[in-house]
Amino acid sequence: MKRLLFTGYGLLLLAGCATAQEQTNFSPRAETVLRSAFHFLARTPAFSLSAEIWREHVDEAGQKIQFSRTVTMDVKRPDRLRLEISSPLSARGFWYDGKTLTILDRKHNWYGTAAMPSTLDQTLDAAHDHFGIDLPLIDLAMSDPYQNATAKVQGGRYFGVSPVLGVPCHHLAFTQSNVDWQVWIEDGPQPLIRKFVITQKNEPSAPEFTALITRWNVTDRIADSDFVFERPKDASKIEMRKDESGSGSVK
Amino acid sequence: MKFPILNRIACSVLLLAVGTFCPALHAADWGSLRGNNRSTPAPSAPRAQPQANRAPQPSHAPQPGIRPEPQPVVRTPEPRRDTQPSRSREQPHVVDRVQPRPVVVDRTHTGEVDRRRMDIDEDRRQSYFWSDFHAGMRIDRLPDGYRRIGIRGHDFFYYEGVYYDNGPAGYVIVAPPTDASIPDLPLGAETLQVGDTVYYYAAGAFYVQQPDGSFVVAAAPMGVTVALLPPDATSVVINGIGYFLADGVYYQPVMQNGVTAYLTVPPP
Repeated sequence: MKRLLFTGYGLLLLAGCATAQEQTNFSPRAETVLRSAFHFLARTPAFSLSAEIWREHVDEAGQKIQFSRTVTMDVKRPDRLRLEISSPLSARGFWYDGKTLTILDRKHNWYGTAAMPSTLDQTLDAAHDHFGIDLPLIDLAMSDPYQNATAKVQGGRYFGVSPVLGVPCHHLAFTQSNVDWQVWIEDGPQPLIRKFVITQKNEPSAPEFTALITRWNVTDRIADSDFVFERPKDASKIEMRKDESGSGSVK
Repeated sequence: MKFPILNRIACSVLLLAVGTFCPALHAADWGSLRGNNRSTPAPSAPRAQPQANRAPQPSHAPQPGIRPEPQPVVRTPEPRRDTQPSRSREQPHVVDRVQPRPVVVDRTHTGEVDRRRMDIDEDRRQSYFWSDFHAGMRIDRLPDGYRRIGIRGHDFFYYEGVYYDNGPAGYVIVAPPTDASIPDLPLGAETLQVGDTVYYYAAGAFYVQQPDGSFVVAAAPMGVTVALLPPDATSVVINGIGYFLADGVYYQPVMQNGVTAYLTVPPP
């Protein structure tokens, strides 16, 4: 019994050390390329992009089905965001003007609003935490995108240069306890992210989220007025509900 | 024992450490690292799954009131279980429906899984059989594999979320009749928690699972949000507020998780 207990104490000690140190196996090349890309983005006061995003769903029979959307995003640091997410079946606009988040369902001409904090970082977290709103690619809009991306990384590897839509890119892969992710970063004077994949490795069949960024503009000057919601003619306001634990949960 | 208190503390700490260092429960599929990393862990107790049913023998009755017409025989990989006395091969026959083997999903994360479905449901739901039909539509013949459902002395017919009644020249699709009992949920049914009751919603019907494993159409609970309106919902404006009305139930559009959803409300 004493031997067992001492073994237990020892294991605890080792485990504690491991946790405190957050073991990482970060390839120096991967870290350098990633840091360069995110620091470039963090120093860019305003940018816009267009992307195609693909999300996999595993159906009841275990088949993986992909669904796509197009996304356009305008960011003006530190407190402006504009997104359009659309598909053949739906189109939504998102506006954050430094104090209010507005979402417009273009198909039905309905919109909802909610008061938000005064910075983009806090607003993106509030939208996620309080309203369960999934805004794709928001990692690019965070004020410290490198810290945001690597906060839970346990390892990173470099896989060389490969093309994304014809653009030579550095291919990096990272692992965390909750997801794995990969990023392709343009090889050139502007280290822009061209492709991003998140793998839900703990879910059955490990479905993936993929983003292909087809257009970048880091030189645009975007007016503040572009981030202010203008109510379309005949649009009706509807309630924006706080997040619930399930799609119809009623306590 | 020299250190009884320490032994107990050590054991407790050991157990706590094991729980802490277990692999993190998976998060919902957010389209960002930020979203994935901020998602809350699921509750520890697994949520009860709808009890799986083996589909009972469907009715082999011929299409009632319909004059048999030549139809190509649809052959399935499974052997036909034809217990009918010999009849014309021109009669549409009912085949056993084979349920795909259900995927075992960790439902401890049902809450987050349900939320993400609201964002992509519009894509998936158009693939389900029931998405092509609404009450009032007329059809000539029932789909192979239909079931006969008797409710208070009246026969309805059912296939994959769609309910049929006899019509003047064929069949007419009707709203899901209350108390209709089916052995398996239609594909694409949403799971809704209302207090201690679990509802399943598909094609405009709210189902509650019975002790025998079947699912019965129940009255719509109030105060729940669904991703999709019933197929026959109509738009109404009352006191300047827009609602949708389907089968006596009012739905109010709201924004939920960044998408439009529909909240069941009492009659305004």
